[in-house]
Amino acid sequence: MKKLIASKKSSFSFAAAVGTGMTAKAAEKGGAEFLLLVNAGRLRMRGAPSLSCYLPLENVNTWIANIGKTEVLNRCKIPVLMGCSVANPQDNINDIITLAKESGFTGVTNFPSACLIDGDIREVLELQNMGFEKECELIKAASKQGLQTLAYVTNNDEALQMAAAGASRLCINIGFTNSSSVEPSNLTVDNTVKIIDRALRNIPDHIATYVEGGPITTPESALAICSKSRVQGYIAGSTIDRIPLEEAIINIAKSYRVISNIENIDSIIQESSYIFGSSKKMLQIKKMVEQFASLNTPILITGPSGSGKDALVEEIHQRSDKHRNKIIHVDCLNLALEGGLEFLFGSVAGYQGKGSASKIGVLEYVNNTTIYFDEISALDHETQSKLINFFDTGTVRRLGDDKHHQVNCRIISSTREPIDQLLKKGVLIEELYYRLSALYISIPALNKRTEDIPFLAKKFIADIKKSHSQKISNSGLSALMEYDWPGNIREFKNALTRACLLNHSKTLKSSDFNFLKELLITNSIDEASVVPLNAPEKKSLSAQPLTEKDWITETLQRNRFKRGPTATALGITTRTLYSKIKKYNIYSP
Amino acid sequence: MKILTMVSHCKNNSSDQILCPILKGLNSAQSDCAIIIPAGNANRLLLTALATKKNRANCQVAILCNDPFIDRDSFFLELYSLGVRTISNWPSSIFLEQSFKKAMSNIGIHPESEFEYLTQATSAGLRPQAFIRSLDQGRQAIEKGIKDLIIHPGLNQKLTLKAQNAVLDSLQLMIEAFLNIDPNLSIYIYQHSLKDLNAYRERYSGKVSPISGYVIYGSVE
Repeated sequence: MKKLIASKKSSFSFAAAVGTGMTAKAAEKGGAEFLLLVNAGRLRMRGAPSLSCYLPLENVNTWIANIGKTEVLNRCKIPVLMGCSVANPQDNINDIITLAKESGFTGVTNFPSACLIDGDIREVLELQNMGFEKECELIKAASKQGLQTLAYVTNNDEALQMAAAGASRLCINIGFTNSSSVEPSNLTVDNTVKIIDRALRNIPDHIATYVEGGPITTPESALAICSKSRVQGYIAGSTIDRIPLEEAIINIAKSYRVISNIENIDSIIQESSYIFGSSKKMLQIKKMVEQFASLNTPILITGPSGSGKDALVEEIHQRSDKHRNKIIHVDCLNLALEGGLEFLFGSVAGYQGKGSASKIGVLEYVNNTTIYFDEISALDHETQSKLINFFDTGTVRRLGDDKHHQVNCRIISSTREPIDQLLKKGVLIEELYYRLSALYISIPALNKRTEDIPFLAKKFIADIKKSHSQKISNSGLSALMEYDWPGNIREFKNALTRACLLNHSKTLKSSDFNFLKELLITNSIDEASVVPLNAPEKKSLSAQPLTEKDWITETLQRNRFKRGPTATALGITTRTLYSKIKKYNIYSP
Repeated sequence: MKILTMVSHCKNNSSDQILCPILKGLNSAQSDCAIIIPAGNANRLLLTALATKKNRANCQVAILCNDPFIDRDSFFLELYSLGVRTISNWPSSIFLEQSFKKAMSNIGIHPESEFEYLTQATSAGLRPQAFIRSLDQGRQAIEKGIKDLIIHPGLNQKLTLKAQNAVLDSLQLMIEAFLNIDPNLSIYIYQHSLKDLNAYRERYSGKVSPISGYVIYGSVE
């Protein structure tokens, strides 16, 4: 964007074609240099398409004059030009200009114009003096009377005619805006530039030139076209009122939907200390936990990184008859790197060579409590095979020993990857899987249960700021619901912590989560920078959830590869971060 | 054989007139373009004209079917309560062509939607009468269940005698084609003036296909 602005002549001009006092005032406040008050703007605000401006729905000239007098001219200080139709053969051009002047308009424009009409009916319009020729007369007469003029044209012939008529501004209309569901357009920026430059051939430099419609739907596309063609500015129609207003209203409406869900948050939060949400999936999980927590059956939990597997394990443990003892958490990712077998099962004296002492394995400690194998698929096959025996017999035998030690424990395991993939790849031994999964719980990613976000947000804010009564606004919730949360609950909690700590106002707003948008931009820039120019078209990245590797890599980059801040941002220990860097072979200087 | 006149205003009811107030001040060529002349609210003007009219029994009127702001059901009921019994689609999109036609079509403004609109009026006791200008449009209207067709010869352009005769011949072909589809149709031929009507009658005197009558554009008031 900056490049575009810098490379273009300094005077990018911008105006708006509007139809109500509210949109006129807002466009002026936003920096529009002048306004066109046109019937299409009014019809759009009433819910009809811009193109209905041609239909016999109102007498355009008296209608627009009246709207100008009652809503716009007394509110706006910038020049306002009246959209005048010459299609009615009973309307005299001088009468139209007098109406515009007496109403207080600074000038006139030929809108709706015959220039967009083609076929035999256009010929009849011209033969009957109801078409573009008459529009030229309007511009000529208005110009002579000292009014400002803007002429809509579509090609070079029309542009030259309007220039000869004395138009002070020309606007190349390249069709109705394509994303407004009116007319699909295949025009690219380059094609549009060609159309514009062809239309403006031999047009004197003193005439200000503008473009409207076609593929232009954003300030970026307007700037791109203006920087490549000779037009100096852009006139926004539905792109400044209907499209952004619709989007804004949809978002606000969604926020109200969110609010209606929040009413019961408090009661739901009290139901469970660890599982939050009222989504169908989370309610199913809660039910399963209630039914199985008190039993001794092994449980296997799957879910993407940061989705809340640890919290769910804690919940199950707290509801079991073993809750008085501390849960034993086995980080299998670390075990895979550091002699996990001996760590789990222990060894007899001399097992590691002469003089080595006997070691008690972790499994011998787990009497009357819960043992949690976090990322169990990270264990090598030897360890997995030994665990099968442990699960079958409930006994532990140290390495190099014949004695069996009986233990009584609840076994819960988790994996990040879906089970079918782990079995297919042979990472998890099938026999072990059957023993682990007497109850199988799959936790969905946060972006698959966005309806839970309000509950989670309220809970976490309450946890973060216990001494403050900080709240979150609808727009803030809306911002949270729009983000994809590749790091799931963990990232969500960190984002809320960051927003709470950085903002001391009572209510968190959408703007307090702007760093999420920056994250999205950073991701897309990073992706763009690694795609070679001639690379085949890649599938939409935003459509694909980021993997844990992507998430860690991105967080490392953001924190300039400092492991402390990266681990904090990810909500994991530096030790775990180190293991994951090694596991995924992530570049880290 | 009936001869109906398309008028923009009439003080007293006449069963041989089709009332369409938005056409006020337009000549016959201009009236063909009425769909793209934003000179007033066509349907509101019609209701006002009907309200001030005496002897409103069995009125025939032309309506703007593509009005995005009108509530169809209440509009039809209001028309019926004002004595209207037959409605037709005018101003109409039957002449739009090329990219403008495509753009209008994308927002739902096309002849087929007009025929659909007219058909819906039957539930309010109104008889639909469709203006058409091509074989395709006629077929679409018949498919929608419309029994009265007004075949328009096309825009009022200066044509050579040969071209004019070709237009008239094409009208004959259309009449035959439509009657082949449904022999019970009521078919009217539209003419821009009495002069055009006489030219048509002269060319086909004695061998005219069985039509119900003519519609002629009325005088400019």
